[in-house]
Amino acid sequence: MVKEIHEDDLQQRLRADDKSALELVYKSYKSEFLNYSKRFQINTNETLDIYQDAVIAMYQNFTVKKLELKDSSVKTYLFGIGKHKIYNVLKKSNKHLKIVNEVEDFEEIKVDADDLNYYQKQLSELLKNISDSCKELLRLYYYRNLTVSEIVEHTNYKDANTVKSHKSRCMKRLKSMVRS
Amino acid sequence: MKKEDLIQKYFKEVLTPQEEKEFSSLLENDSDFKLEFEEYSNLQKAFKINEADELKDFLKNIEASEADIALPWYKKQYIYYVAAAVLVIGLCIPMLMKPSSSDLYNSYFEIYPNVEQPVVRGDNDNASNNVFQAYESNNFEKSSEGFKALLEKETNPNFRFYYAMSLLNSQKYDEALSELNVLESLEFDYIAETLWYSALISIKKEQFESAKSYLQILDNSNSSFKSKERKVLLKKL
Repeated sequence: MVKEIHEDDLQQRLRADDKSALELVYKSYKSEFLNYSKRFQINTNETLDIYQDAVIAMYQNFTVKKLELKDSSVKTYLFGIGKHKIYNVLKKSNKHLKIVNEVEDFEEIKVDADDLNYYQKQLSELLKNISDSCKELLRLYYYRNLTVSEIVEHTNYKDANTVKSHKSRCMKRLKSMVRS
Repeated sequence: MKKEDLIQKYFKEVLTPQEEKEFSSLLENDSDFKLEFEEYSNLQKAFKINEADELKDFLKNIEASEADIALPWYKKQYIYYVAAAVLVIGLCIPMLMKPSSSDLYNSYFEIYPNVEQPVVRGDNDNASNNVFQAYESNNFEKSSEGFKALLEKETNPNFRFYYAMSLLNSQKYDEALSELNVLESLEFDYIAETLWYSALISIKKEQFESAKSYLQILDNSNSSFKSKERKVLLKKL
């Protein structure tokens, strides 16, 4: 299965927020990652959770930042993030120092922490309750970082002005929800 | 370049060195730009967390369906539900097909009323009157003794029937049945009742074949006593 993955094609699908590509990556490297994580003094129950979080962080970097890996493969990138996540878990249990210099296979790739401040938490809840059309439009713009013209390309909006006016209405609505 | 494009490029991490300079300068000097940037950043973080939660559910679902496929049939979780359902159905079928003997007995049994001798209150001189009065008052211990004493003086099948009923109402099933057995071959007022109660006692004793034969004899008679009930009961046996 792994051999069948065409790297460029896969990366392109990941950038395009293609869930089937996510599933392919998840299934292809799971057993290898779980095996890899055995060398760390880490609870095996945690490794699947770590793997899932690493896959999500990798996927989000593709969909949000339009990541293009030139000198590395999706797998190497994923394992780098996975290693970072394992280290974070080990740090919390004070085991990090024991193994930090022992494993030099994958380069650790740091990913953004997911901590939200109070206002961001409030926004996160409000975004779940806003209308579907607003949620999707704001998601494409603020999360996927698509430009207005790219949004017109990917959706049924007839032109850029319609996108802009809808976006502006959605933002007003969201701000009024924040205030209320 | 438009400000909004600059901000999007920043988040996509594709700013050229020159654009980076422009971006930093605007962030420092343009308060509107700074506000717009912060708003973008807040929304992106909020979306990112929500999306991560949804993606986690997506992966968990993959995991759950893979685990289900990988398990041999006897380890699949639903097998417990199937087993439980089979057990429940298995327990229910005999109950539906054949109710327990006690349940059957209880659902059909009722105390046979005194239709033989209307009690005359205050007529204490009449011995049988006192016995039937005891029977009517559900004092079956007393009525049993009374009918037994009456039978010693007089072989009256009607008294024997009420003697049997008194025993039956005192849950003395075997004794009641043996008294009824004496009456079975007789032509008297309560022959249909005798067969009916003999059948019920047989059911209680789980002697279903003999219960059936009592009911069949009753069916062949011209009696209309419990005609509906005995047909239904026959079908259940």
